Amino acid sequence: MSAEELEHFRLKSLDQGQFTGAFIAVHAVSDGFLMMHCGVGCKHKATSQLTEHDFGRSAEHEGWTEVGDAELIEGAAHRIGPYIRSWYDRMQPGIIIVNSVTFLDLTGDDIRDSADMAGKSVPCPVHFVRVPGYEGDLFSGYAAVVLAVARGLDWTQQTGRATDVSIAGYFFDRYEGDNLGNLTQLNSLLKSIGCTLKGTLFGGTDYATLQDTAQAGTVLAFPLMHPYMRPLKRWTKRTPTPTDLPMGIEGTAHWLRTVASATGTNATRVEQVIDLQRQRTQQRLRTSRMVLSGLRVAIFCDLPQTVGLLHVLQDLGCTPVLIGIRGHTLGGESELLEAVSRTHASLNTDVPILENPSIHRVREHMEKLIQDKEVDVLIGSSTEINAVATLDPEIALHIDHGAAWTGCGPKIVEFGFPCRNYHVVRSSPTMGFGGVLGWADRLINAPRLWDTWRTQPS
Amino acid sequence: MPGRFAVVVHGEYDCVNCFKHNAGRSSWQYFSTRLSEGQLTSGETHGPLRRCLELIVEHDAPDAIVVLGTCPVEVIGDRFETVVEAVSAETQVPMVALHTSGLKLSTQQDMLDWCFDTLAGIDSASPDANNQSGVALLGMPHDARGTAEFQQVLEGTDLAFKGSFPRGATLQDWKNLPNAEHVLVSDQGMFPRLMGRLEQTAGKITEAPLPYGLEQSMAVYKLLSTMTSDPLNPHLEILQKKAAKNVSDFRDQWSGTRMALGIRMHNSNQFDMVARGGLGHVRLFTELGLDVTLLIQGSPDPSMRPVWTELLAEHGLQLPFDVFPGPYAVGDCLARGNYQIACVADWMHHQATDTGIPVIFSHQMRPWLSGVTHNVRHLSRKLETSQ
Repeated sequence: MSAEELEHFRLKSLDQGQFTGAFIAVHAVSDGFLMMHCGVGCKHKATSQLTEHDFGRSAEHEGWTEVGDAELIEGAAHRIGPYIRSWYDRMQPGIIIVNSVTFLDLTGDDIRDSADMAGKSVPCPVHFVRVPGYEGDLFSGYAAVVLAVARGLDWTQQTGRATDVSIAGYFFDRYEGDNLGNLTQLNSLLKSIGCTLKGTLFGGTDYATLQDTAQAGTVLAFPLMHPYMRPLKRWTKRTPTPTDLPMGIEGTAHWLRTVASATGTNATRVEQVIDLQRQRTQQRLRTSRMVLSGLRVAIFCDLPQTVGLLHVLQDLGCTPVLIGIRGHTLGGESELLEAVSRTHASLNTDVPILENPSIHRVREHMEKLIQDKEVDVLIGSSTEINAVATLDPEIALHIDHGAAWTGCGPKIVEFGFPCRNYHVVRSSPTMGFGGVLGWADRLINAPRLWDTWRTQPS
Repeated sequence: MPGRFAVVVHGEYDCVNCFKHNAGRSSWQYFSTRLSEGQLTSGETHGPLRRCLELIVEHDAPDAIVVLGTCPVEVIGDRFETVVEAVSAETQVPMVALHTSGLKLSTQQDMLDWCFDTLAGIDSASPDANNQSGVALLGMPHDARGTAEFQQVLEGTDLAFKGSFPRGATLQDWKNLPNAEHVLVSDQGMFPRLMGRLEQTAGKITEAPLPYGLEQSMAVYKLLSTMTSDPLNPHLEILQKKAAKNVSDFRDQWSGTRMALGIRMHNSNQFDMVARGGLGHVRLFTELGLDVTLLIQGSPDPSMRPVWTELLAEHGLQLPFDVFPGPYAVGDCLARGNYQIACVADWMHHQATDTGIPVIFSHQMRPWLSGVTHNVRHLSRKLETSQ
């Protein structure tokens, strides 16, 4: 019991909080600007975390109100206005998001009002988001900005056709080929069933382009927004359709059917598209499956991507042997099982599921799996990979991975936030039918955890 | 840092995000007291901290625990050091409580000095049993090849290598630091607290340049040679000749190339980037014959120029410089300078690469003589591919 109690205090595999999530969301609007009303240490929650994750765009579109102990004592909210005005003059952003942190919230300053007042003195919209560090996670921080921006768009204009679709809650974490590929996939999936993508919250466009989002007749709520369906409905003046992520062949098929149902698209046409794409994808996967089939995979991802990966692994003939759900606002084991059932994914009941595990726990479980020769691939962010890499490579040196191999330990596939070594230049989706092929590519070419340059086991 | 220690961040859980979780060997040894809004507003923060410390001792049995206070606990006036002292006394595990909130605005140097002094003050070990005279590197850049080179140069002398601090040091090394006979430090003025401690306990402290480039690396080795009556390993001469040839060859081809070198961009704990005014790389580039202009992040107000000039003069530098107010403006600054290559901090890569000027990042430069070959090759490749 006390080990479980200590687990509560340990650093989690995803302990990045709402502040970081809010900045990722601001970063995802190409002319967005984050006005951080916080202490000096908090700045690292934004800049440092995202800088190494995104090679496509550096993270300099942020300012800080420079609050120290003196400013705290005399009251600091009045600093927001002048800082917003001077940063507007320098950067001319399309939108400014203001956030505060717990210790400033504790002072009782009316920060929201100060932000609203300051917003009247600059030509761009200014929205306040509250991102206290004692609740929520990366995803709720991102969702808070989605809601703030959605609230500011003009949804009162004439509602478009049902087949004009907007997406709320796409997690655009960097200006790299993975997101480019995914957005292309989403666009073409919608097009294939007669729909048009009007806008994505967020997709790396500027704020002016985001206005088109409000032209949609149908709003698709990606999993990130599922806990916030009521405010999303309120701000968009439309009943959003919750969807899972279109990952894997059957996951994508399920997504298309959900969208078709919401938009009134011809069901027969949708099934024809699915059959055709399924056939094409499976045909192209044949050779890959020869190599990948039977691989045992440990997954450390947020809940929606875990569900998507279960579909992908099924397509590739791989088996999940351990699941760690990163973050906590999108649900735990029961929500995962519900999503698995809803999307018809495959998951053996004996697969251990770790809810919001600590880095220590990830390391501990992976050590046992590696020692017992029960894992071939680790899919996770650089946080999990780094933690497992601190294990003694001796535990894997004796494992025979087959002929002509180099290195030892499981193959590693860096995925999720933050990435340190995996960066994507060309369009390389993880979603849609095309994403399945991308995953096959990544698993085949994945390096092993420890680079020992051994050509044969001893 | 390797070693059996634990770090507890006392505050709300988002406060742990001031650290990167995906680097280094010890992320799994970090903890947070995960204070809730209720605990913060009611001041009930000692209970979770005590329980956290007790559980860590019970399960992980670390050699030491460092507790870091954050802004929220500072705001409510939490004297958490009393809990830390009590649990330390009860469990006999050394524990240190630090008020590290972001409210006390201080310089990066202050923060690093404080951190290093604290590490060196944790339960200092007794001097080595074999009593071999040794040298520790403090505040010097650390990479595996460079440290191996330094150790090789020491071979055959009566000096033992006592560690490279902070990056190459274990917790045990830190405990041994106060007993080092010789300390080679990059910037004494940067570590007043630590220097104060070492002056009382360690042997001779010698300030040396950051070993970036041939000239500065040899200056360090020259100082090293004064610490021993034995000659330094002859391999040093081979390394020196090789580095000198590389420098000479580079100069022949690229001397006069206009370079922009960004400084004051590192809001982080990269001590070698902030030591010596952040100017440790300058001589690396000037000895290669590059025509260096400094890009200084700071106030572009013309009245500030004499201040910058004076600061550079304090470091023995008389170089042209340009000033930009923030990362968002570095692109304009680069564009107006007609530079052929730029060296900036990596986190503004987008602004820099948009100018079309070939860019290298400060952290890509490697220290010591073995680094000279790498640096020359890296720069040459960048310049060649841009032609």
